[in-house]
Amino acid sequence: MSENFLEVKDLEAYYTQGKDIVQAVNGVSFSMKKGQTLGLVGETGAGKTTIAKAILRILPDIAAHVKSGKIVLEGEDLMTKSEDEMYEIRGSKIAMIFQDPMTALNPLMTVGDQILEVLLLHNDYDKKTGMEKAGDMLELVGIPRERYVEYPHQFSGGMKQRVVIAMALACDPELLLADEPTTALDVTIQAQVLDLIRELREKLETSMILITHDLGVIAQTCNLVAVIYAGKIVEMGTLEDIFDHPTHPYTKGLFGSLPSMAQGEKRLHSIPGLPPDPTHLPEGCAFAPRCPHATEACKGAIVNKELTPGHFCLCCGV
Amino acid sequence: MYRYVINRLLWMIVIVLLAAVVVFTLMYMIPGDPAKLMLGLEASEEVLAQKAHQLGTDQPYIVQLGNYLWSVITLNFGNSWKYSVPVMQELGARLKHTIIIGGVGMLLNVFIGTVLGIFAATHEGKWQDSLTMVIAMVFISAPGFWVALMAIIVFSSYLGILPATFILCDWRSYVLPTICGALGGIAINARQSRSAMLEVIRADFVTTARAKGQREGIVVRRHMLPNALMPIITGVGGGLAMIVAGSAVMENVFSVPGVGQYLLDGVNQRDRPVVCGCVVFFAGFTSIAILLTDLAYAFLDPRIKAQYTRRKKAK
Amino acid sequence: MANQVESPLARRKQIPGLEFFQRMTKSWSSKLGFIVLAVIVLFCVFGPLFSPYTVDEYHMENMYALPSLAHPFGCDHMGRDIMVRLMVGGRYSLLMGIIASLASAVIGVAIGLIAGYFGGIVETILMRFMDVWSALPGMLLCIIISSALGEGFTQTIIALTIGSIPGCARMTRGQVLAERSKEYIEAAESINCSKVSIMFRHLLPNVIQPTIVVTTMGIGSIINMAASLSYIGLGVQPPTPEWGAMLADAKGYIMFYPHLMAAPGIIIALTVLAVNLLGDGLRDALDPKLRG
Repeated sequence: MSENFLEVKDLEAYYTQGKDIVQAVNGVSFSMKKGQTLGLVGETGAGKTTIAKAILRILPDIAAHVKSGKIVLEGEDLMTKSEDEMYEIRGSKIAMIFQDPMTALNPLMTVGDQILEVLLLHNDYDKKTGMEKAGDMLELVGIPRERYVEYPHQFSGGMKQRVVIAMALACDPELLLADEPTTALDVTIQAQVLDLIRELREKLETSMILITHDLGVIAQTCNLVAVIYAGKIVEMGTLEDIFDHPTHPYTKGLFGSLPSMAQGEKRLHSIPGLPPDPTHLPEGCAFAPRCPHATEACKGAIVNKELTPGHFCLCCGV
Repeated sequence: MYRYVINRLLWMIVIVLLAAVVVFTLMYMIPGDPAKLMLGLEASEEVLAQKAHQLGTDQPYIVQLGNYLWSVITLNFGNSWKYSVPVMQELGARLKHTIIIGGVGMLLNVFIGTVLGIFAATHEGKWQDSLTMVIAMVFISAPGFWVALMAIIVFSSYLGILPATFILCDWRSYVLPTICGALGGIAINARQSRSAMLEVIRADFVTTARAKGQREGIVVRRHMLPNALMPIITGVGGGLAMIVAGSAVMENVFSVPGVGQYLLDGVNQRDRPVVCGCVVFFAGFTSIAILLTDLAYAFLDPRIKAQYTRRKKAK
Repeated sequence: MANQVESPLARRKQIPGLEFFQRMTKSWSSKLGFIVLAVIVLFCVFGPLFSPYTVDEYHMENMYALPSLAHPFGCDHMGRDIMVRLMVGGRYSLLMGIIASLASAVIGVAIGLIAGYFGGIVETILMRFMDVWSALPGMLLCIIISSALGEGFTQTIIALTIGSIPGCARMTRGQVLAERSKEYIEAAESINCSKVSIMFRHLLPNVIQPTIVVTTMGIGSIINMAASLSYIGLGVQPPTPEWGAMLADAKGYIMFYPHLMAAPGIIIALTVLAVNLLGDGLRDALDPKLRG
């Protein structure tokens, strides 16, 4: 077996919000091999985006802090890198696609120049070759080269997301962090953008972490799935493990809330209650207050159990 | 784009003329016979009638207004009633002081205000931020003329390093009026720049730029500053209007023989040509400032530029 | 997103006044603003009742007196007690600020609503009119209007009101333009609401918030403008103890008795500061998006 391409170990991060401390990520560990796609699923506010930003080390200094943890990419710990070394890695080795294409582009720069910016940062092109390459990238994501000189406001949402994708892929990153790349888009455009990402990923052999709360998107795109609840991975495994043998009550709840045509059900199941207040997480299992199978044991320490090789579940009831 | 600029220029002239009409009408409504005002109460009926004829104040309102507008269009604002000096000549002589005080004040406003705002925003939540904002709040709240009077007490009475009135007419006489006139605007601009900058600091596209591996210094210069500049420019336009408006009061405090003081003199002596002349000057000045702000906006922001070009196509 | 059809007002009604007040004075600065303003208002409204002096009572032996126990802020050039004059003068200054700012808000909002909602030729005419109106910065307009109307309390309020209308109209129109295309207006139109009802029942509550903030802050700047007007010899005149007029009185003695300038200036600055801090708190409470 080859070594893991990316390994995240015990990542903990918190935000300060006035006097409160928001425990966004509480000891997340996972690993993936080259070329794999890991899906991170969870509700809004579960800490998915924070994980991605922590990997790139672009959490805002003022409010957010990575408390502890290791992020090892190809044997090198990113947490110990200097800021100068990180400049080299961001955009070239690891790139990120952002959630909202409407605001992710600088409104005062032409889209071409924004792609050119990342190209010139990580390659020794002169400006002309760079512009040529930026035009190529636009065509790669299905935008005519002539639109290089246009500004973001002249593009629709879907087109902007294509530009963002072109920007992320411009330097052939080895790891792509896609943060809900389709949430802000119409359903029809969603499918197009997902196809595009998948196609490009296969062509460029990029590994990817896809963040979403949409199980359908996961099923279409990922090999590995990690389910996140209140800043912890509650269940992780291959796509088959999670979709065919969901074990954690929260994962089961997620699948229960999907509409199912086959069984002809009239009502969707929902998980009762709300996610816990991240400033005051409950002792023990964070899901226990909403869990139908909760027992006294849930208030103690919870151990991660390996059910089958590679399929982990963080629940004391299993 | 050019057509837009020309349209705006023409409209600006119309606005200034209309402002002149409004002010003329207001001054016309002030009770009292101008001839009597000039010649004193003892003047005989005959002399008064002669004077009124000479001034044209015996004619109906509409004729007087027409004559006045013509004099504005030909940039000859008539003679002062009180001193019989051509208003244009007097304006020309006084312009220098107002332009120096206003212009330097404007520069101070743009640079110091913006730098303070960006400084506060980049230190958000720390003591530097709080201190800057508290000082700004104090200068926004304290009346400008009172701050000026306090400055006179400190710098002229106690320290004796700067003149309190405009007697010597050297550079030192300009220092206090310029700085005191600009303080309020600087404070407002600092607050606005801070919030503009904060908005940009949190913007997603800044995170995008960081994710590209762009260095922090360039992220600030290439992505944050240009976007923060937009609202700051608006603030600068407003700041200029404030300095112009405040100039009358400031010139009064420091006895600067500028246009603002001329306007106040005219108001006090019910000297219609003087008041109207000064008002046209100030209205023109403000309109040009607002036009320049709008153009700078359109030049810097492709979204606004696109609106104008589209408007042109539609016509 | 689904909430857009329903007028956001419906949600706001659930908030009782007390909770709103608590939100408004959440930060220490707006608490401070509220306390300072409350003290100043009480000082001006009830102070004169407890003062042993009256506004016009002069004692030549007290001319230019420095602050003492009998006269906490000293006495002016005619030996009048500055403190009682500040209290009575404050009534003028505060009233002018509040009345002029409310009046300009009412007129400005009406103009902005009509221009923004009807659009077309009505909008063009009204807004062009506002352009002309604001070609002169507010302060200059006030100077000219108050010279045309003459000196006095009412005249000054009119001048200050007229000077502040265009800003309010502009802002309201901008808000209306943003709201007009929203779905709840379409919904109201689709059930055949009258234009007046749409304007006042649906649009107004949704565009009024920034106006409330600006009007509050406007009280501060209007108090400042009123003081400047009296200082340059327009507006409310001595012997009325308006704060600006008191400064104008003291101006002649600035070289020899500078302490006469202190109290009126500081109280103007404090009042305006308190109003601005409160306005900041109000803005934060009304619109969490603007929270800086």
